[in-house]
Amino acid sequence: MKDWRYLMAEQRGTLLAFGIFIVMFAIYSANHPAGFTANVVQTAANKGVLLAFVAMAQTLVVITAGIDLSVGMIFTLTNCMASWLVVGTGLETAFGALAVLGTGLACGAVNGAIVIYGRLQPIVATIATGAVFFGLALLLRPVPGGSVNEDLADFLTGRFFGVVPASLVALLVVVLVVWVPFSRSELGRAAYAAGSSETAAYMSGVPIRRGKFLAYTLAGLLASIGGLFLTFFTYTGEAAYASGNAYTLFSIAAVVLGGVSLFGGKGSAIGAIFGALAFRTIGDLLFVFDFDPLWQPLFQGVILLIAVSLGAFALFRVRNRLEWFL
Amino acid sequence: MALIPEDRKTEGLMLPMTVRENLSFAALDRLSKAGIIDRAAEQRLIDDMVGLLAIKTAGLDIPVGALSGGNQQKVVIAKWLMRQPRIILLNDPTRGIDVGTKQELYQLMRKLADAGAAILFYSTDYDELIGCCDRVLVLYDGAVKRELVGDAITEHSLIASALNIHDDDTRIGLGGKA
Repeated sequence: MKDWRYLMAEQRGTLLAFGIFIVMFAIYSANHPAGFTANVVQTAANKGVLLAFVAMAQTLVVITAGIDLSVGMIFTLTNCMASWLVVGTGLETAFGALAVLGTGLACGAVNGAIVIYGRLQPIVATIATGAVFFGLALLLRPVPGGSVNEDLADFLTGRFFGVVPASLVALLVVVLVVWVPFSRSELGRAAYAAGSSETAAYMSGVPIRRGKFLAYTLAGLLASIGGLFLTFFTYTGEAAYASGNAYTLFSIAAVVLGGVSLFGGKGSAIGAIFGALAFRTIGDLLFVFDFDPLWQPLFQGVILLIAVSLGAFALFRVRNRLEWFL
Repeated sequence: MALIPEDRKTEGLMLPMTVRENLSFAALDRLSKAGIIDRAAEQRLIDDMVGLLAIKTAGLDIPVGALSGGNQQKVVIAKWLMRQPRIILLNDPTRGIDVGTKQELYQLMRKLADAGAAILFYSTDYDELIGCCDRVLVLYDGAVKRELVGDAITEHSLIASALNIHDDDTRIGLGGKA
């Protein structure tokens, strides 16, 4: 058996998500009244990266065989914080942004500490912390409002050289600064190992706890980058319960669509990003076809089911368990 | 110090992960600079180990679960040898692997012991103990009942000690040292 076949299998999820995204986006832009223009791409990118950041956050935790149901709430909380802090002069804005990202890190670290050192189930623990984060968001923004440094916001949601969406560049930078080092680090491998087989990882002397803790903490950071960008797009902060929850659930959908195994130990943030972009495009497809927006959840759900089943079809052909690995 | 656990499928290996990843796990801290894995150093060490243990694999990037039982066991051992351990604990390492690989493992153990490593070898197979060990400790009822050294390690003496039968004929070599 050649290496590349295994490599292909390893990347199957990412490739599938990429393929779905390309097809969906082609249909979308072909039917868009404005066509495939820089403007359409920019709008789509801006909407897509929000979910992409949250999905990346979810990926890190899912890799450790955990789940983070508070990512959407960290996203909401940091959005509310940013609408207070990321304003004023350049220096004030910079400190504000750092404070927001620091809060995200802290939220993630709290999740990590509770799950790893408090030994609570990730599902229960993050539902609880998610509620706390939302409570804090409500305290910060009982009613929607606030503002943001508009120069920075316009810069990061605009286009470079007139064609390249700035938000996509920002996403790429975050991938290079957070994901790439993580996936090549000792603790990143430890996170994968913990998700794959915690017993074997423990027996091999892998630093499981530190690896998992780092995964949860970075997940908080990534969710807060998403929150920051939400503020840049909307210019306001809003403690919206439904939106926070939707982001949490969509992030799980995006992660699965991107080929990350919910059992842990498998998948990459790159896959999850394409999963997120594809999922977003599916939602937008209805608008270009002039359907009633009420159809959106139904349509999104059906497409998601089909996409996830595509991955499962491979299992039907398996006669020998060894072939699972192919 | 290295521990080769009894059940390689649940305790020794992360089956869906690649051969390369599995080999590196125990030595990750040595292969990393500032927390980031040095891929070149990792590759060198892995090449050494694959050569030393003659691990038969179609490539380093295939899941370790796709290898044969014997080669999986070699990966478990190689993983620890990458740390150059001075004490090696082996818990029934030859279970469920083919005869040829067993022989290779015996030779490897001999080589490591001659190079100065202390090997604690747990086995339920008398022939293995007789063939491999410099010194055998027989446990009965939670305590070491007898220590057998060199020529005193015979099937007769082993079984007698294991069943706690006091047979004076076998009581030789008591208290000897390795």
